[in-house]
This record gives sequence, structure tokens and C-alpha cells, in this order.
Amino acid sequence: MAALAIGGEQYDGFWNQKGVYIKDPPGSSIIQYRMDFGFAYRLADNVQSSISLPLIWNHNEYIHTNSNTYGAGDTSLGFKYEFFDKIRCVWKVRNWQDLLPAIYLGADFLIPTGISPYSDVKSSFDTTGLGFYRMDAVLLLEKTISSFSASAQVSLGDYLERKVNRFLDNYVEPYDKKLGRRFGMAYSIGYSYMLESMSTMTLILAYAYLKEGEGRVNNNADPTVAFSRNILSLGLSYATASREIIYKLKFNHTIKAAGWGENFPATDIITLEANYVFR
Amino acid sequence: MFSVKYWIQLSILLLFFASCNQLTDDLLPDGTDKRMSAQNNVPSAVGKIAPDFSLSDSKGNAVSLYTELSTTKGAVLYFTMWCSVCNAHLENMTSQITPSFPNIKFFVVDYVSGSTQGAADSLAANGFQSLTIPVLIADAGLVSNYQVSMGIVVVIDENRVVLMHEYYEDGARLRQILEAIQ
Repeated sequence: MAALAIGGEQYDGFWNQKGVYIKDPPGSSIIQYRMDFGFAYRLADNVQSSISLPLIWNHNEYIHTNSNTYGAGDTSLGFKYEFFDKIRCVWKVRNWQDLLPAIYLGADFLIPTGISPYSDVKSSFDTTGLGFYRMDAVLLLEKTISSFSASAQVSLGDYLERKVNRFLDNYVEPYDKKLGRRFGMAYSIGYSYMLESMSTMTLILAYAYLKEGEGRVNNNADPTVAFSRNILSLGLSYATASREIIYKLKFNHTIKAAGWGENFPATDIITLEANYVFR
Repeated sequence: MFSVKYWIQLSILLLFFASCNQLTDDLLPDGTDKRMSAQNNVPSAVGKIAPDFSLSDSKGNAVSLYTELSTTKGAVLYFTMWCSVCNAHLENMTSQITPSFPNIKFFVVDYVSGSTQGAADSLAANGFQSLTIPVLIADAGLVSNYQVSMGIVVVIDENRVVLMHEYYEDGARLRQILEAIQ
């Protein structure tokens, strides 16, 4: 399968370390545009692999600071093992086995191909990547019964420690740095409607929570990088009758109020995606 | 399972992206200390005499670096653009560092607001109304002389020598430098 997604992420204030939402100054405009090239390939009967290669444009106007930067983002590699042989989507529940969900266990790898704060950039607004390798273990459960679907996902990630000798265009006394352990969970519910042409329209509501703990600098705790955030999503997808082409429109929204995040920017994201399945 | 064709395609894609920018900065991080060679042309580089400045703070008071240094063991300049990272540093510095060094003069330098009122508004908008550290409003000369960017902290001793000029990170390096001069 090949996928192309284009999207824009509008930054709109941030939550401080106490979880208080702070608005951006008047006149600020911070937008990140993304174009993702995705490919998925079945390696074996029960094993899928995927890769996502983003290109990113940053447009920033923040008080008296203006900049426009672009470059590659961080690359994601994913492998997923399917703990089932038969399709778990059922039209009607006839016995208890019809209630079993599709279970996937996966490993995602983040490769720092983007422009991070540890390279030649003037501000964190100009970065396109984190600058760290990370591995996430992912458990995904999916179930579709009739026109209704639901999913639940939990993930646990850990970064590799790296050496740092530069930060935001300033060389620093070299040190070892590691970002905090990452925990994520996400839930979704969906409803699919079959159109007369046998194509399908699906509406999906989702909620996701993400938290990263304290980092480490020279093996000492660094609380300044810990964060958390909550995201609500509304998605609409359209699949052709042959299921060869799937279009997706997705809107991610964060509640700009106290308690919905900590030490993290509040953003809204809109993404349009087209998938083509090779048979 | 992993065909040669698959890995070739993957490698080509990664190489394409690798050609886009300074990729190896992060793929193969460098731990070499390059401060001395990189800061040679910076007036406020470590080991040099810090350029003097005279600025207004957010309350309209005039502040001169050399005057302040004449009555303290040293000065710390923390550069902020009031972003989430800067605010996290400021919280950390005021709670974990500042109280331990009464003989050091701390300043927050706002290099984006551009006016007394703008700095006062930024303080209030970011929840730092009760901040006891003076907030200085940077001018073009300071921005140029101190090679300003977000989160940079500069330490200057009573002899006006720059001892530190780098990113705040977790504050451990700042504490280490201040313990040596207080």
C-alpha cells in the first residue's frame, strides 16, 4: 500500500508545566505543513511493515520573530504482528468467537532524519525532528461488528541516549541526553455507511493521550522536558467499492484549557490522506 | 521474509531524505567540544570580557551590566522568548537555582517584546507577575553582542569575564559554574 498525506498543524498557545493554558501573543502565527509519503508491505502472512517519510515546512510569526524553514522530518519504521488468521470483522454475532478482536503487537522505530534543535537552527520553531532514536512497543485491538467499529491502542516508548554538543546554533559543553519514557493510549469508535455504489463512508471519533516523563542529562533527572497532552479527533474516510483507494480527512483538536496538557504546545491538525492498495 | 528488493527500496528512500539537510547531526551525534572554535567571533564568548549594556527593565528602571557587577559576585542573563520551553526553564531556575545564590544577580532578558509594556504584558500572560528577577528588554546591540537565541544562559563574573554561554538545559551546568564563583 502507498499513502500520501498532506496536512497543516496550527499552533495555538501552550500548556505550561503546571497545566495552565497560555495563549500565544497577539499576531502570532505558527503553522507546520506536512507531506507524508507512506508505504506498507506485507512481509509474511501475519507480519506487516510500514515506513513513513515526512517533508515539513514551518511558517513562524511569533512577536518580532519571523522564519520559514523546510526539510525532512523524522522517519518512522513500523512492524506489526497479527495474532489472528481469519478476518475479525463480522456482520452479525453468531457465537462468542465472533466477539474476538483483531490483536496486533508491533514495534515502531523513530529515526532522526529531521532537523532537530541539536543542529544548525535558530529556534525550536524551526525544527522538523526530535533528534533522538526511539522504539515504541504497540498493542492494538480492533473490532468491527456490523457497521460499528472500535479500537484501543497502548504504546510504550523509550529513547536512546545521545551525545549533544550543540543546541539552537550554540555549541555547548558536550553532555549525554535522553528524553523521558513515553506512554500513549488511544481509543476510537466508528460507524460505516455503505453507499449505493458499494463504496463505504466511515465516520470515526477518537481520543488519544500521550505522556513523556522526565529526561536525563548526564544521568541526572531533567524535569523540563516532561510533558503530556490529550487529543480529540474526528475523521471521515471514503473507500471505493474495490477498496483499492481510500481517502481520509481527519481533524485533530486539543482543548485549549487548563488540565488538557502540560508543558506542550496546543495544536489543531487537519490532514487529507489518499491510500492506494496494490493487489 | 525481508527481500533484497525491499531493503534496496528502503535504502534509496532514506538516502533521498539524507540528502535534504544536515542529517548526520542526529543520525551520528558528535560529542566533540566545539565551543572555542565556534565562538571565536562572538563578543560574549566564554573567556572574553562581556560587552556592557544599559537597558530598561519591565518596570522602567535603567539597568547597567557593569554597575550591577560592581556590587555582586556575578550576573546571570537568561534569554527568553516566552515559549513553553523558556517558561519551563524559568520555573526551574527560579525554584531550584536562584535561591541558592544570593550573591549573584539574575536577569531575565526578553529579546522579543521590544518595549516596557510588551515585556510587562508577556510577564502577565505567562503567569510570571510575581517574578522577583528583573526582566530586561533587549535592544539590537545586545542581541548582536550576545548571539541571542531561546533558552541561552550567560554567566559573567565580577571581573566581567564570561564563564558560560550556552543552552540552559536542566540547570546543572549553571549551578556548577555559580558554585565556583559565589
